[in-house]
Amino acid sequence: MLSKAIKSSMIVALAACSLYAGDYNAQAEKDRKALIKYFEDKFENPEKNAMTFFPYSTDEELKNNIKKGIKHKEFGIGNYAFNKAGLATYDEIKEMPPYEDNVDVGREIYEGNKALQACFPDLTVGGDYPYFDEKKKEVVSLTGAINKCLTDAGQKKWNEKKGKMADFEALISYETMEAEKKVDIKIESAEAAAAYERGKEYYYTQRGYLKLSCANCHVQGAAQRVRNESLSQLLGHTTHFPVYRLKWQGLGTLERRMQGCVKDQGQNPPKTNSKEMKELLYFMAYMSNGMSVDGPDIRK
Amino acid sequence: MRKIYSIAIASAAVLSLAGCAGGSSAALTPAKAYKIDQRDVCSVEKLGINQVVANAKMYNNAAIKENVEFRRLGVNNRDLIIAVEDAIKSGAKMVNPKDFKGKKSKTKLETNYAAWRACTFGLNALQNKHEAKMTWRAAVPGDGYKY
Repeated sequence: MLSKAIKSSMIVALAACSLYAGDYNAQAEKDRKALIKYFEDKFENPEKNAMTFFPYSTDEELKNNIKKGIKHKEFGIGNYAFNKAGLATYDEIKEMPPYEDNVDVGREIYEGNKALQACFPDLTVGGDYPYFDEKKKEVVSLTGAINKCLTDAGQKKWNEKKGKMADFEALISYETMEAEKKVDIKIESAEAAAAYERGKEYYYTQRGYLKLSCANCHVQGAAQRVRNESLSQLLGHTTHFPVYRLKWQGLGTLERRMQGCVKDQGQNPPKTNSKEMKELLYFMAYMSNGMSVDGPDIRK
Repeated sequence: MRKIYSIAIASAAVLSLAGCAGGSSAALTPAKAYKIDQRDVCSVEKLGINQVVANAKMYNNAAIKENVEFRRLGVNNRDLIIAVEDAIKSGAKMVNPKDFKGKKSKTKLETNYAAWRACTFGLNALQNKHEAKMTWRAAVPGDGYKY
């Protein structure tokens, strides 16, 4: 009788613990679902909902260039998800993608570096970063993990924006895509939830002399035209990095792109390996949870 | 003995000044900065360029600590302040600050205007940070953002 009582109380305690553990990502899940709903509502019928979501776009633009009825997983390809004219160009470039050589270079680097092989025996981990290290109580980005692996083996750090780092990340992204894996960011402690919240606050905070937040352009402003370009949406932003940008004439990491965005807001951007940057990426990646990893990719 | 006294007095003076400077800089939070009117602290006509650039430095140092320093066209505000200080020393009427890579930027400004801008950029960075604490949730779908 006593053992039964102990067993049942243990089961109740374990169930309570697991429920509590599952709760750490409750707010993040709420945010993610609300974001998906927002974008699906926004693109359900742009012409009909112009006053709510596209107050600065012309009827002609909404009719001819913005796709309607876009669903969650389709947002993974940036603004090409809705930008009809852009998609045509994108498809043409994708026939002979300029990043193919980078994937090959990344593979050569990997095959010639035993430290990387030991740290990354499985290359299909592109969707698991950034993750929250529960021992160190900090967010670990893929870029940071690669450089730590190198320095632990007595090798020099790589540039965190381009070059070998981008090439090796391209290989990881490619292998993850080939394995048909999805973004899978976890929040499993109060500290991880706090890091997520700080990243979220950074994303939605207006900053710089232009007093813009990331959300001004990539949530409320998504699909708005800036000169001849359409602003992309937060949903799916991290799924395809590193990217080959025509502006860069080369491949760059997500950190490089984010520094560019903060600079465009009119602020001295956070360092690529700073706490702020890693927590920002943690939030952004969580928003893309469940979406396919499909990098590397091309962008203008 | 006199030497010892004079060294002690000089050291005390330096330490107290450093303490004051450190104290004022440490005390300048975004919340306090939010209450400051830039017309009172960044006007070259009212205060003179030396005081304005001193204020700019104080605000911008606090902004750097808060990781919110402004950068415009590749020029960090700290480099604009340095350019203004150099112009005051040399008597130059125009400033040409270095960009964040340490190279000459394309920015060329009249010195008094540059001092005003450096001061307002430093102050606004702090004020934005404080204001954003109250407003950022208004942009979050599912939270403060309604449509």
